[in-house]
Amino acid sequence: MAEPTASSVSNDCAVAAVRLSCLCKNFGSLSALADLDVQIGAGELFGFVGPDGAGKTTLLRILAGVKHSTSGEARIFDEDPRQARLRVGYLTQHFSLYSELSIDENLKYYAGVRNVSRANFEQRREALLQRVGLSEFRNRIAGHLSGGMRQKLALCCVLMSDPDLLLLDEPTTGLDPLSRGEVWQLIRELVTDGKTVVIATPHFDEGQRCSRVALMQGGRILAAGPPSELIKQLGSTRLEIRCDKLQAATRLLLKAQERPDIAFNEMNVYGDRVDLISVDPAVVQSDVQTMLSQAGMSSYTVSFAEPTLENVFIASLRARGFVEPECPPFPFAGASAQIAGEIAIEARQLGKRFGHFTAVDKVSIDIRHGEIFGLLGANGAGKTTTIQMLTGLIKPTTGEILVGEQCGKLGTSEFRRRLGYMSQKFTLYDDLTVAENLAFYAAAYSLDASLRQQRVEWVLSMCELSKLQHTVVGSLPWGLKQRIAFGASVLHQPSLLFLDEPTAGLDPVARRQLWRIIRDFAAHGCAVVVTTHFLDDAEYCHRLGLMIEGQLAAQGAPGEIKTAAGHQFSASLEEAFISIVLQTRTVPV
Amino acid sequence: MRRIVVQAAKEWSEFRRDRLSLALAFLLPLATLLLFGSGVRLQAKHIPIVVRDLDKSSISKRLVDHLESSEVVAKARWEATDSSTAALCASDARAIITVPNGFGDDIEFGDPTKFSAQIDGSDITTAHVMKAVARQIGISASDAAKEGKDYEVEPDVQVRFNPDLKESLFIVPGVFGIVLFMYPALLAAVAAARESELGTVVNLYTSSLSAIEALMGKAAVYILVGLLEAALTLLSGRAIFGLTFASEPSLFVVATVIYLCAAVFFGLMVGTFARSQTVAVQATATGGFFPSLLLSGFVYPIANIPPQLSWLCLFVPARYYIDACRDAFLHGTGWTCAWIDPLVLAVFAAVFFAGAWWLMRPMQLDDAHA
Repeated sequence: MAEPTASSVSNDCAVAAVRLSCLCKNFGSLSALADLDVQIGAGELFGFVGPDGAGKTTLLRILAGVKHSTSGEARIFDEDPRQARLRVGYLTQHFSLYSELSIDENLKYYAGVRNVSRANFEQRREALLQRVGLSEFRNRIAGHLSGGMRQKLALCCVLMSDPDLLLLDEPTTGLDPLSRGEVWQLIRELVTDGKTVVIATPHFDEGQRCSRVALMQGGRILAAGPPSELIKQLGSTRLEIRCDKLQAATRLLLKAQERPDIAFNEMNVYGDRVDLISVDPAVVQSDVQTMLSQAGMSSYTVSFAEPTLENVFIASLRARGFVEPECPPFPFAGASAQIAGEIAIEARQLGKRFGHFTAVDKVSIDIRHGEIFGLLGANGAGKTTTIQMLTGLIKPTTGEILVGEQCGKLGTSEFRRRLGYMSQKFTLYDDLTVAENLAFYAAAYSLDASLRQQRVEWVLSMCELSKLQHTVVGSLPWGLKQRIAFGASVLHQPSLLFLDEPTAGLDPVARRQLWRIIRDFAAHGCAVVVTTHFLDDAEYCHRLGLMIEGQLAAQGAPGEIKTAAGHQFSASLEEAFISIVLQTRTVPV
Repeated sequence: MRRIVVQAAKEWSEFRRDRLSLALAFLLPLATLLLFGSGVRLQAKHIPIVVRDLDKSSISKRLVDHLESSEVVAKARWEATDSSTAALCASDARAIITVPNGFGDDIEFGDPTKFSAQIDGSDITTAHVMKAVARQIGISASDAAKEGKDYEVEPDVQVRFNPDLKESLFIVPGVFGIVLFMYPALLAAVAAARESELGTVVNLYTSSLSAIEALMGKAAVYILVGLLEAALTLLSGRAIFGLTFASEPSLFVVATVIYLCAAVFFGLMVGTFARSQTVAVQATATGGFFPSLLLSGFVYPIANIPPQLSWLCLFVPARYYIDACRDAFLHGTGWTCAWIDPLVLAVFAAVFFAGAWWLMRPMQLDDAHA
């Protein structure tokens, strides 16, 4: 395998839009950015791709001139970033709009503080609003816009001063697939107009749309170059294996992975397929086919596909000597896979209104033991409200919830004992140490002493935290907190597990590890409900429900959803969802 | 039971590590205790007064000595050339006791006599105490008479500025001092902290605005709002409590505008520092409200606060504004006596603005934003 090591990135161009030399940023003893050397030419669409905590936001802030670096140099069009700031448009991660102001007032403010002449303002406002389709809403208050509209308005605000360089920090996070597509369309148009665009994103598929990317982890660049070249350098092919008895096939493949004669170096299990990465795809294909046929399976397909940037990312980590951590299995007690298939919880025509606002409307789902159900949708689509009703935290306005035999009655303490819930934030107490947090949850679930010790140790070893157990949680990086929070929510081995955005902020390795554990719980009979707006995550689920504006627009296995939307198995879920959204949309998003 | 212990243990560990809560739990009660315990007294002590003994007889001297040795009053500075009004306004004298010529002789011969007590009525509590003190002097003087059965020396009590000792005339101008500081400061603090909290502050940092322009722009709005609040309180004070100006109000107007600037700049300074709206509100309330209430002479006379703490009063803007208000509504001396107040308030405004500018000046996110 060719090693993608180009950590210093250069592109021969007369005037570099961005030039970083030995750029470092430390927060106390923590190194957020270490020795970055990057040159971005004018007119490029450049992506910094990596998980939360990779240093993307810090880097963009330095480029925007709102934060000092510790050492090294950052130049924008050969000027200090602070000097060049009027040539730069910076879109922060959280919409930096004034939500009390109207669309028009927001634009006027941005133009005013960035020296835009009145004539230019009038002209650009018309052109921009026309372009993103917001012309008719110009008097609407920004706080009343949908997520997609807000992000488009934020882009218009940034474009008001006609900047030469755009810095976009996660411009599509939290958007529905359709708005995401529209924002990307706009970004491509801007590049065509001759602007330089630098984008920070945790999504590898978005990296694939850039002309060049730098894959980042822990403040360093793992690999950089045009995505297609990085993938080519990998010298491998991805094999997608689909099979009606996926669990059995997975077990066979796991065993095969240990055999020296089968040549695949990466395996990842999704909801209805298994991916293998191999330098020798033809051989692996025939080996796998032989193996599956020998095991008496007949309906399976093994197809070739291009590796993704995520595969490049993991390969680069390995090339740097990274070894995937051993994760001990969860110490299950008295669990049975026999209940698999029984209904754990069922919602019938569930609805929730807050005043005049209908947050959830006629949602019917059933979730079975042994199954991972993914609830997908944009921010504000009603996912969290649905979860809160299913966990008994809020009362539905209409409809009913039936709980299976295993879990008691909704709202009783018996039900709560069988329930595991990891909410998006605030699950852990920042002022307590890791050990204190876990001890608190273990005691709150009234685990007896022997189980408690065993399970707390499991969480600590899963997070590789044994040495840091007496550290205060608030000082740990976000991704690690996320894993501890997951550990805390399963200490009592729940039969029904709700996970609200469990993988947000995790790097690909940690994300795969977490999904392995979630699958393990499902295999032991746990019913798992996962909410996410991360489409990468959706592929890991057995079944999916897509929520749009409070309603369930589609339901089924990932492959079923793709075919139902009229696409191939190999299509991305994003394409499938855009088709579905376009078919069901009632009001402009 | 065990779960209660678990919940308590968790709470305790959290509380122990949260410095802000710790400070709130232990430092504030202590500070409050000290402030109230040693500073704030309803019972008047050491009221500054001027005693003019025009008689200089042995009886009058005895009376004056007796008066000056008491805990209740203290001698105030007074120039013989000052008019009595000037003495009550310019110096901090709260009363002027004048013993007339021939007072001692009158008493010795049992003739009816009087002495005068001019009392500043702008501070109700003190005025009541001084009325009692004057009566006490009268009784002592009567005792000095040789044949004293039905003999009584009446004080000629004259209450100045607030002759009916109406409480509203005392309290309401003080309320102006509290209201016109707290609310504009809170609005400005929240506005400044909101931009940091929501991250919209990055818009300012990446724009062509300078720190001074950004602060001025924000301040202008809240000073305007403050002026409207001032007009509202003034009109209500007039309509509801019958508050009228004691003289032409130019000093009051100038002092009010400067005071509002000081309040808004204070809010901007706190809000820029705080970075979260909750902290901004807490800091403005603790840092603005308590001193204005306790150390401004609003309810508790500054003279009651012992010298160890009274220097703190020098740093409370409300003290100067309340002084200007009482001058405008009660004393009515205008610029002649109260000229210093707008001047000191202007210094406060300048210092607060400089502080806000200093905090904002880098126009950068600091590392706590990591």
